[in-house]
Amino acid sequence: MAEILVIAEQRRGELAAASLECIAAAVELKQSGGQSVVACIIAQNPESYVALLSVAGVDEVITVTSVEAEFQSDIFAETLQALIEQRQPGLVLVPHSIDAWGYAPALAVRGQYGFASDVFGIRYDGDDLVATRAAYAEKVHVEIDFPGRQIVLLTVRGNTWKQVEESGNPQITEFAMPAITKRSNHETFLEPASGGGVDITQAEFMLSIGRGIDEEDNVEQFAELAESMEFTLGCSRPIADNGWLPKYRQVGQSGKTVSSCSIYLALGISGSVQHMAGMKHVPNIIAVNTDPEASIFSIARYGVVADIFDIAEELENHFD
Amino acid sequence: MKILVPIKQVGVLDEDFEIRDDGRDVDLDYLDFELNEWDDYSWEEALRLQEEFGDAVEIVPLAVGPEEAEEGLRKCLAKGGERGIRVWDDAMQGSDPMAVARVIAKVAEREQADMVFAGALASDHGFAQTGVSVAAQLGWSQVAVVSKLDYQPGDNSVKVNRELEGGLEEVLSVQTPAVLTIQLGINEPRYASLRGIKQAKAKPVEELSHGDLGLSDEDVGEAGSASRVRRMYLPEKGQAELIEGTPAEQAERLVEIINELKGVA
Amino acid sequence: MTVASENGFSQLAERILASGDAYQAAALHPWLPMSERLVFEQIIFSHRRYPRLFAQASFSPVSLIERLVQESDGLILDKLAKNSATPTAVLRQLAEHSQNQSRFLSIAKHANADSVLLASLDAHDSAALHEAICNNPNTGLAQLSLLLATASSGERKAMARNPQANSGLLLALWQSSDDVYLQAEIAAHSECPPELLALAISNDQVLLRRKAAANPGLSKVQLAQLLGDCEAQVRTAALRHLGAKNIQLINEPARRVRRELARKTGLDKQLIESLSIDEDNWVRRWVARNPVTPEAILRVLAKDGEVEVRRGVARNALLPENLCRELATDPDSWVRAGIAIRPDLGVDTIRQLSCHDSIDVLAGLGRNPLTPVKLLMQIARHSDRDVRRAVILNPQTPLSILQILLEDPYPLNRAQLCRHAAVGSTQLLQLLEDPEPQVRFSAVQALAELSQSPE
Repeated sequence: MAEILVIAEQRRGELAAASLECIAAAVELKQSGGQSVVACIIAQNPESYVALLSVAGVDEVITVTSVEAEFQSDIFAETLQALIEQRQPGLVLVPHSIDAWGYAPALAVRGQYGFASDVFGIRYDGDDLVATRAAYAEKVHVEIDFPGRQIVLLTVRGNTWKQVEESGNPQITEFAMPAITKRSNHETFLEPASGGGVDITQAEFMLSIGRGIDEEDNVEQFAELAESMEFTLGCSRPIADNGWLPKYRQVGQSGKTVSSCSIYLALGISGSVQHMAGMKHVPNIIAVNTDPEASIFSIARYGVVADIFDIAEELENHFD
Repeated sequence: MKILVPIKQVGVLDEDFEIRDDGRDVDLDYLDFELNEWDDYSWEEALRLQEEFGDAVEIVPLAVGPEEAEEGLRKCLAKGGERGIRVWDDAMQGSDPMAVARVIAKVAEREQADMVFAGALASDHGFAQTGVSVAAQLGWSQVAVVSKLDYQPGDNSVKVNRELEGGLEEVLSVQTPAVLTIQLGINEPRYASLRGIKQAKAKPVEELSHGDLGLSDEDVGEAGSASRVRRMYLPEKGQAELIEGTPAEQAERLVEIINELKGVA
Repeated sequence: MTVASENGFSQLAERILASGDAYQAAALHPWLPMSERLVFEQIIFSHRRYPRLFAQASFSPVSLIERLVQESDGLILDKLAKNSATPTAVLRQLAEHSQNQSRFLSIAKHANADSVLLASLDAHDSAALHEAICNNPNTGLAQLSLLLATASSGERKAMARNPQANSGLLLALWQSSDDVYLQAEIAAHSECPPELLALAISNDQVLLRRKAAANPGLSKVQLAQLLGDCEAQVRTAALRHLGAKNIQLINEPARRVRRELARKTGLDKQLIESLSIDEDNWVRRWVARNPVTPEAILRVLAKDGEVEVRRGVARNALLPENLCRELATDPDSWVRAGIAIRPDLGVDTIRQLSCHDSIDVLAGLGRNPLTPVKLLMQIARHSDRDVRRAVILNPQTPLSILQILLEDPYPLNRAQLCRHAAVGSTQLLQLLEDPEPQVRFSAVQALAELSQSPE
């Protein structure tokens, strides 16, 4: 069978872990299908990533020396189209990263490849490639196939495959980047704002309280817990309406989306439409509510049916 | 100059639902339709440019979808813009984002649009694919996940911030014409005024078929797609993992989970 | 009922029939005589999404829930079993006419399921169901006792937390296992037998002593023992559940115990004084809020370098007027916002506060019944939707100002407007045309209430 090509990514000299997860997905397919696995890295100094990419199961690492230090969408789309035309892989795997959002669909259009994004399952049914992804807010899974496509490009969801630990001894090949007119220019990176004033849109960890809090003094108790947990305190509308917390802490207030948040601990929040609009994108929502049917549970990753004061009192003892 | 803003009326699935008889989608009865959240932001970005530069900028919302998509167009038109476009016919059933992008690109050509602002993602299927595919169809440049935009109509480049993983942002300039896919939080979408909602009912929405755009049957629907749905099914485990036990046990487990997620375990 | 209001009601009913709007029909449902409900139900059943929507919604009127339970659509019945507004009688109907395990589970978890209904559910055998029954605070002691013999570890823990458990059951639970989490719940239970409580407070497991410290049945001697415990978390728990009197804990090394202490109202002056200069911000925050803190100390805390300490003073229930005026000019808006929501503001202080433009201060004033109309008018025109809503939430806002907000672009504000006592039928009729379903629903509710009382 035609080989599997994995496109690795780097940013500011650091290999993206998702690249190794894509390799793991390819190596898993190789175990049943026997295809060779080829990893490709495009960078200013691609050699420096070869050792990291040389994990067991990888047969070949292709290095492409780029004129740019950082990702640029035209370079990726055009170089990879040329590489794919030369190599004719059956399957191309790319991390489902922001960089990939910016070039992978364009690459698929240019090469007329089969394409699916955010895939977390890949298998062959006979000769047919079948990819699995989710739809409708993860409520259903969907199996996708690609009738009539010899080459299929997939972007692969992170944290799905476990990186291969053992190292291997792949062949190293160079591929020359074609001449490309790039239509965008990298200027600089902006670091996420840190520390200083409270900005819930920049908070990484949040503890948010809702109507279940009952009294103003209880707000203080949960503020104390949030501080000891090193979580940023947020709240739902009724708390801010009462004047118990400032409006800048209100999630869902005038476009306050907690876009940088990775863990959201919702205490006593039932989940109004406005509040959920502000936080439903958080990957790890932990909801605590006495009502097992509270709508917040429908978007939570972890649910705790319990009294928030009981849970808060217990949590206090873990963070002091 | 003209900005085309493709929008999508997304299906929000009821908590309890059934899969359609052919096993390839959910039963439509269980879907409520609403305007994709990202499209609120891309439309707002267009509205802001329109307000800033007045008649120099025309903004047009476009929906590729059946009748319910019109509601999304009216929602946009209630805030501004003078007309909308909706493209649909039976042959377009089963179109994946690649086929939809081909249609959007044709409309952009027909309208002689100078920019396309698309949502970075749609909340129903989460493809994150359509906008960038449109750029490739048109041969335009593109930037995905734009969190800040600095643009003067007529400029031959636009300066944008791209939101990367972990809150990092990249500042870059990109040649126009371009497709920008817009991220949540780039602005604060307004609410339509009651008067605006009334006025929107009278604004024209042009209805087109794929044929009107010079596309053949092979360009749309399953034939024009880069993927095909084989089957849709319920995942084995429910979404929320319930943490059981006494509050003391639940809290201990929570701490474990938080530490694991933070990577400090 | 007056002739005028009767006319008003029938006009409203006719108008809703003509609109064909399911939300308005649902809102009017409980107010209609039985004989007239059918035509309105036809509107609600015109599309299959509405019965499902109302079966799920906690705002649905009980009369409509009673109607929906007669449907055969399993999805509707599942949603009713989960709806917090579903009354006991309807839950009983759901249980009687069904063999559906997941529906039984929803009923077993339901706050409106009574002991008789819960006992009838037990006939169906499922581990999840048993645990839900053990968890439900309405489950009778007799049923809990019956379940004990076959109870799993999770079920026993749920029983130990159940307020219906008595000392006999708790003793049996204690003897059934040496699981410390189970024992901890038993030790915290108000019905915990004294001999078990005695065991718990001297146990070497911290969890057990801490949970026992929360037990209201502790003797003075036992409390004193726990207040002197070597673990800070046990001392904190004992303190938290201690009454107001005679607290003497000087030189407490753990800051979390001092924080707990600073909240207590039974502190003597010397203790408050030492806590008011504590190095920990939180201790001073709690002293600042404490209604027993003397004025002299509040005066010092009102100049604290930490904003939240000054905010605490601003929120002190017994703040003297002169300090209130002083904090109204605090450089930090969050401190001033704490003053703005006080129920004891003087005219001068309100004027002072209104000079600043922080949204928290303005929203506080917007909601404050003492705020003069002229100022409310300004706040009602603010660009921030949450600030405008504060004026709607103010019970003293006159109709002339609410009138401006009838066209507020934020739907939630218009829905809130329907519930304001000063809003009359003219305004509500205007809101019946609103594009947002929740606004129309609330408007009908308010109109129906204006025109008659429920049958």
